[in-house]
Amino acid sequence: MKFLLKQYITLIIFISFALFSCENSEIKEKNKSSKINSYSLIKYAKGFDIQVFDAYKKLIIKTPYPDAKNQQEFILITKNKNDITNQIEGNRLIIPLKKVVATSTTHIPMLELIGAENTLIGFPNTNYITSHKTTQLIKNGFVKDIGNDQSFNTEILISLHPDAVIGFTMGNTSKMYHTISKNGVPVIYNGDWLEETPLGRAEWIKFFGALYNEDALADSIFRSIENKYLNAKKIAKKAKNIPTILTGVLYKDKWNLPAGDSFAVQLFKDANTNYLWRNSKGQGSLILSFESVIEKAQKADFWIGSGFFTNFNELAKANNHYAKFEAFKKREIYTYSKKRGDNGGVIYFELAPIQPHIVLQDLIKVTHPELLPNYQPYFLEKLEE
Amino acid sequence: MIIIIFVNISYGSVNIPFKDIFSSIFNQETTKETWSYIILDYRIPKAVTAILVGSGLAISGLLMQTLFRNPLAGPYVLGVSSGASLGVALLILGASILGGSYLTYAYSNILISIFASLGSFLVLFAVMLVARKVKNTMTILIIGLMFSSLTAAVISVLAYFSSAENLQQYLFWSFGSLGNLTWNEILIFTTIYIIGIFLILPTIKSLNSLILGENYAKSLGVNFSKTRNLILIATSLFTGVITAFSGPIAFIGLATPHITKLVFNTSNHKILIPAVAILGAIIMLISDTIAQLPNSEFTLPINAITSLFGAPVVIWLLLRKKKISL
Repeated sequence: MKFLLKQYITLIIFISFALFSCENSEIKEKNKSSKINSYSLIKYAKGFDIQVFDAYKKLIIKTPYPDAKNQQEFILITKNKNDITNQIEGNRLIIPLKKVVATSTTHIPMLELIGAENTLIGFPNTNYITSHKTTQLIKNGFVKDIGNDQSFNTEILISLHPDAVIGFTMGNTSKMYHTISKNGVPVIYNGDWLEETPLGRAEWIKFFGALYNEDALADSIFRSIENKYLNAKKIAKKAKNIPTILTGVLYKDKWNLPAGDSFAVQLFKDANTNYLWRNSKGQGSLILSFESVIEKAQKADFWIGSGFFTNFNELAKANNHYAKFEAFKKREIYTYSKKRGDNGGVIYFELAPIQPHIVLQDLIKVTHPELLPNYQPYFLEKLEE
Repeated sequence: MIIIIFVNISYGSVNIPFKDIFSSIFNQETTKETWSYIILDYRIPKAVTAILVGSGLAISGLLMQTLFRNPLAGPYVLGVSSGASLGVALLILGASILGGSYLTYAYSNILISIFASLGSFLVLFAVMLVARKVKNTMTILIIGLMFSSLTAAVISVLAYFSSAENLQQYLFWSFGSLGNLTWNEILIFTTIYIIGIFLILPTIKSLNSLILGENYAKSLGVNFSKTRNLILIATSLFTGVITAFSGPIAFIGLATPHITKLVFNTSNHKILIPAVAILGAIIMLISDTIAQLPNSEFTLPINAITSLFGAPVVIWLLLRKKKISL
């Protein structure tokens, strides 16, 4: 992990130096002719957009929550330009943000990559965070735990006086967020989890780039992720055989699997594998009966993602139906849940959105080992005996 | 009933021809290997579970209604179901508060069963303690209701403090399901079920006189407190083990006795007990067949079906008769 971060940082510094001058002139030029600049055009993410104007930027959250009818808009202004832009209407945020409350572990690595982890002052259920850097900040008392991840302690949150809360919500009905914004704390919904493509999710780094006035840095981080991802995808195309994939586990007698348009399935497709439910519709999950799953996937070559189970014994004990699958007999079951943070949080949940290239490479290594002979998977590990 | 069992086994998400169903039951080769596994290790245990759950809940409901002389009584109302739920909630949700948040996978069916039974026994024990002091059955019923809201409150407090993944696991359990039992678990289930039946047998005669009231029964020489205790123990056994293995299943316990009485038009428990058992099993099997949504990959929570299709039936039957019988 440390190695990866270092790699990132050197890359970031290098690329940002290379890009900075040309981008700067680009901004000025475009601002003269038209109000909207195109340098931070969002390529993959469907949930947000950033528009650059003469003296300010506009952050548009297009889908703050599933099936949202209204979008959110924020005027992002640097402090020295605050007076000039007084006449612009809208929710104004002074950037870079100095104090934020984040609400999802996926926000943490993005804050760290932008170099803004020190601005984090509150988080619900800090135990979920696995990053060493941020865990240290929590230990030293810089980050306040604001309670349950479903319902924060709004009093503590408001008393922290954050510049903004980076929230996420299932719908417009969240009373908690209404209370927070009524008390003058802006709530910006981060919809990274609603993106259908892995690169779309990773692109939300630019959302943080905009809020911290580090757009060029965010852009360069994203470009490097994009390159690595597309490169891995190209490698996967060379595979000669296309193995079949099963995923998920039973909850009682219902099997939970990702639906065809979801983030996880896109990764299976890009790894050139045949996820057996690839043609199903929807972004969420499928809840299927046990018998339909065994009928379709009893002979699946790989079983990738076995819930919280990390060894074959536990799996067989939890339900002896599991042992009936070929992948179980051939010991081809892999899990993302083995790598844990100090407090037990699953590292995959936190890092996968910003490291889709690593998730993809892991999948390629497991399903087509001949294509990446010297690669060591990071997230994906075989179940123990 | 045999026809319904066969229908239940024949239909599911996977379309299996009748020929292969027969050959898998009689241990012959099937066209596809998975088919015989689906029939023998999934659908048949599920059908057996449905029969045990349906009949057990229906018997408990009948016993409660007779004992408390109240048409609204049932395992749910007495708080025994809630007690079982509380046990499971303590196990699944409590663990995350105590810091064992990623031990979720360790909750096997057996462990859940033990906690559910403990929970229902605890509530039942409390009810029985009260029953010793309070002679009025109505009061016991109200106290049962209070226990049920008390446990519900404790569960929501636990839910508030527990992690999302544990909450999800608890929610899945609370939807109810029939198809997650191994043959071994069914053996345990059946044993406890038979013990329950044996406990009821000596009370059947007294039950018939209980309908006419406590005092009348006593005047006929019924040992009231002994009968009452036996019924309470049997009910808690049924409810505890059923809730443990298949989650809290609504409606069956309350409604089946009413349907049975309307169909058979008798209040003789020698007929009523086997009749509710069979009817309960049939209703459960039908509900399960509907829940499986034959030939589609999806299934519905069994709890939703029992209420969705059952409640209107009861309302219709009651309206037709215009009088609620005990």
